[in-house]
Amino acid sequence: MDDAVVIRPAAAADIPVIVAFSKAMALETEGKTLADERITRGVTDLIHKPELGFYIVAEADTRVVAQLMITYEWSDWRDGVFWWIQSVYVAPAHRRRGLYKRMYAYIQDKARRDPSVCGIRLYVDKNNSTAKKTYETLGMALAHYDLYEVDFVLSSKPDNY
Amino acid sequence: MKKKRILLMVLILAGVFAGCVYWPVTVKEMNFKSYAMDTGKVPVIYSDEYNISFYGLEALHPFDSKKYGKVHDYLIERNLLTADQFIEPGAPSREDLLIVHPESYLNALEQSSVVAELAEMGILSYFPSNLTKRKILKPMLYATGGTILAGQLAVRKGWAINLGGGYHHASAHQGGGFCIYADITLSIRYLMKHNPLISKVMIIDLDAHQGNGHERDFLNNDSVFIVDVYNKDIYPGDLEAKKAIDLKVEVPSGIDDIKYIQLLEFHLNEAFELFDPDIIYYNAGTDILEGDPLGRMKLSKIGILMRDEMVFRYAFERQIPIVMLLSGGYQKTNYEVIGNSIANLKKKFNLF
Repeated sequence: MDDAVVIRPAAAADIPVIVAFSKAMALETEGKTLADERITRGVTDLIHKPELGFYIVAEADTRVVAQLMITYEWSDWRDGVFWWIQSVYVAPAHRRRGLYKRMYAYIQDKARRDPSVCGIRLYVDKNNSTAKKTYETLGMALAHYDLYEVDFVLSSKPDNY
Repeated sequence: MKKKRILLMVLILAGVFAGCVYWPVTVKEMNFKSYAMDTGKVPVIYSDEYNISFYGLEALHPFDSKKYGKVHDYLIERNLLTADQFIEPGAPSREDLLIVHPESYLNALEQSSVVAELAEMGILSYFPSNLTKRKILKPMLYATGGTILAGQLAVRKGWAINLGGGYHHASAHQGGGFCIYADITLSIRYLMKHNPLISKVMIIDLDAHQGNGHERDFLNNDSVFIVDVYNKDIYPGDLEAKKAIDLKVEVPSGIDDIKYIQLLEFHLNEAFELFDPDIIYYNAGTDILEGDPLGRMKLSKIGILMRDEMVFRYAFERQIPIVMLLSGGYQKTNYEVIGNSIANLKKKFNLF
């Protein structure tokens, strides 16, 4: 794009960089190495299956420098869809420039304009106090739920990633 | 012997000179000229003749009828192109138009009331026909020449952008919605007639409105594959023409960047799996921009840049020549969006 940094939806041409960022994020935040083939399929499928969700990216001078993924969760209580923010990554050289804030503002704006969206949710590592502070500053509140899961694919065995 | 050499030199020099100063050209000449683009020209096609002015009355129309000139000036202001780098088209002759349009249709255009109706400017019917000819038909004729030229240049250069044209509501027998000459059909027919390498064409029509003109012209035609993404709630809702669409994507009013870009990616992917064209005609109407009173969609300026980039990427990755036409979208700021999009294409694909 042409301006300094623009926030935009991702397209198929962005798949390689989203794969690279996702791998970098897993390594950086959880010390895990994602298998190339699976994460590539995972990113590609989301790009080609709009019903599952979407990515947005931040682009600076023709390069993608940050990403954010949204997936959907139906809420019968609210008769609407929650947008889940996941897979947030900002390239190291572009941190502390408010890129997450801009991506969040973009998402919030789109979500609020869409009458089928009932809210925005995300989960965060219990120990990531910096991220928690950012989310609170941007107006999100800690939910009163704990997150449980059974993971069929990525168990605790390192070679499964 | 020496005389012969001198004569040869003169001929070579004359040839080089002719290659440098061949603009503007008429459509007839286009078939025979060799477009040596090493003269510094780039295949961005424009003529001052495109712009429509009618003693200020054009202000009554919802369209910015001078957006073509504004895009041209904006590209120069931003130092993307110099004035002498644009390529200037000529106007097609009546004979050229007859490739597609019947005599009866061209004759009908002699009446200002017919032009008034097609251009959706009722007031024009009170003016003499020589005036509507000069002020309305002539600009559209030049832009039609631009689209024909764009087809020929794209084959040679891989791409061409006409800063006008895209009259996708006009068919051989019928105009409407500000469209009088069927420039897309004409350009395709011209190319297919004169270039044996072009036998399969894909039209990607991403103007907010259904492209019923070219659709009517290519009904039951397997050589032309039509992808049309349009707002289903607005003009023209032409059921007969819809039968010609090979990949129809009807979107709702108010669709935004995220949903639109996802849909486009999905369907372009599908289109190129189904059809392998020799050239692409991309009708890049900017009336999908938020705020457009006719398009009623909500794409942002960035969304338009992405859309154009995506279509060009699909073409270039497959090494298929692409023609881009401006078509609809006449808000006062559209020229900037179009200019920025051309700047983005230049940067991303090293266009020129």
